Parts: sequence; structure tokens; C-alpha cells
Amino acid sequence: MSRAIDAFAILLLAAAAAAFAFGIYALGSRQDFKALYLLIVGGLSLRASTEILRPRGGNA
Amino acid sequence: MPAPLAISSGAERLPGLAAASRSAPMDPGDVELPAGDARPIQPAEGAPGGRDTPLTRLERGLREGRAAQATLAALAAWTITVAPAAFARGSPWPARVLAVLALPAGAGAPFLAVFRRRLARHIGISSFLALATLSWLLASPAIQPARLDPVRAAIGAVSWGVFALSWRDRWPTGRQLDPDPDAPILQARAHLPPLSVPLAGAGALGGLAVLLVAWRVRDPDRALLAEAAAIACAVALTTAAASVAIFRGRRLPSASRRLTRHAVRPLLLLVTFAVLGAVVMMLR
Repeated sequence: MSRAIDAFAILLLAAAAAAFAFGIYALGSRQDFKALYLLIVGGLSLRASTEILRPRGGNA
Repeated sequence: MPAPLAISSGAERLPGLAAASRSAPMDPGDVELPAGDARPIQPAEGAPGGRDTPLTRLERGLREGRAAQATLAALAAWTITVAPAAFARGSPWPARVLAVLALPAGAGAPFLAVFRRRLARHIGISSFLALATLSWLLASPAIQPARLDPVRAAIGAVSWGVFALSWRDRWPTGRQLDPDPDAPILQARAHLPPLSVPLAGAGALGGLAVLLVAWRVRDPDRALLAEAAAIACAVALTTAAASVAIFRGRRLPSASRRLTRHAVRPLLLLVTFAVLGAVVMMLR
């Protein structure tokens, strides 16, 4: 389980990088809605990638 | 407390130095500097009779070469970035006056640093930057992105970087303490998890890739926004990659490695937003 979560976090990190890159590209291509969508998805992916690994006491 | 826009002198990093400064009388306008930079306010090495005259200080400062470096860097930055804007056709006269005032501030202050380093930093960094910025603001039509030469802009950016480095303070080396034979052997409390360095490096490379994508934006109106967004994305990517690289290898109780409520919440938010956004984009 632990390794699967690690791999998933790395996958989310890679997805965030891709989303950021495509978002910036879309911004330059005058696709504002797509750019905003991709940048927000990238930000949420980054947050999820760190949150699922962040140690917390108990099951909360 | 360092002055705004001034680089820290490093004195606050050395508690021993602060204690020494309390015990030794000195000019309150000066800043005592660590190790290599303490020379301007200490008695001259090799001066006759140990007397530290202004002339010996100036001579020693010139011999070190730092004043000349800082002066040349300020001259280069002023010549490449400030003067062309202030003296461009159509620039108002206040911009030219401010640019002219900035020149002695930037070029002369390094020599003042030999005597009064804090005052010199206020003049050579804070005042020089303030005058240059005001000059740019008043002559803003001359530095519109459409009128900027990319090569000269790049050289100007490098020159400002060199200017910043020329006002650097050397990192304090400190005296090596003798090992205490009675001290217990210190063990490292933790090790980096495997593959943490490549993972953090990949995050940094991802950030650089995003910055490169932003450089390809051709539209001048969007290029600045894209660059700002790319910098924010690169910082976030690098930070998150470092966090993932460190958190990943922690050996914790199994209960905390499950997908907890705190972990599921951002995941649900991500999935919901991604699906809804994709649907909306397909319908548009």
C-alpha cells in the first residue's frame, strides 16, 4: 500500500508538471479557459501529491 | 535589522561577533563584518604603529579590488539599462536628472564602503536602485517591450546580477574548533530516502521546462503574464517535488500511510474539478 501511494504521488507530480506546461502553452495560444483549467488542475494535483504523503497522527 | 533593499551584512549570523561588537567601541555608523569583511573597520594590518588612517584604509580597500569591481558593475548596469532609457528621444528631463544622480551613487559608493560600509550600502544599493527605478518609471515609453532589444535586455539583466554579486559579503568561515575527546559520537537522526535526489532534481527540471514554455509565448501582451505564471508554477513544482521526495521515504506507523481523510479530500477536489472542467470544455 505504501509503495502504491508513493507511486501515485509521483504520478500526480508528473501530471501537475504536464498540466502547468500545457496551461502556459494554452495561455500563449489565447485559449484562456483551457489555460485557467489546466493551471488549476496542476495546482490541485500538486496539493494532492503532497497531502497524500504528508504524515498525520492516527486516521484523523 | 538590515536596511530595505540592502544585502544583509551577515553580522546577525554571528552571535559571537555581536558580543564582540558590544565590548569594542566603534563608529556607530559602521557595520562590523564577519571574517574577511571585518578589515575596513579594524586596525590596519601592517600599518606603521597599528594606526588605521583613512589613507591606509582606502589603500587596502583598493588593493582588495572589491570597490573597483562594484564600481565597474554599477557603471555597466547604468550604461546598459538606465542611460539608454533616460536619454532616449522624448524622455522627460526629470528622468535624465535622476539618471545622472544615480551614476555617482552607484559608482562612488563602493569607495565609501572602505570607511563607512553601512552608509555606502544605503547609497550604493538602495539609493542607486531607487533612482534608477524612478528614472525608468518616468521614461517608461522608452522601455516598452516593443522597443526593447532582446540581446541588450539580456546583457542588462546579467549586468544587474553582477552588480548584486559585487556587493556581496563573504560567507563567514569561522575558526575550526578542536574536537572534544569527551563528546559522545553523534549519529545522524535521519537519512534521505532512496531516489530523493533524482526526484527533487526532476521537479527542478520540470520547473525549468515550464519556464522554457513561457519563453515561447510570442504575444507581447501575454508574455509577461505567462512568465509570471510560469515562475509561480516552477516554484510550486520544485517545492512539491522536494516535499514528495522527503515524505516518500518516511517510515511511519501503517495507520498514517493509508489514504486518510486529509489525503482523500484534495484528491476528490482534483477529480471533481478535472471532470467538470473537461465536460465544460467539450460543451463549449
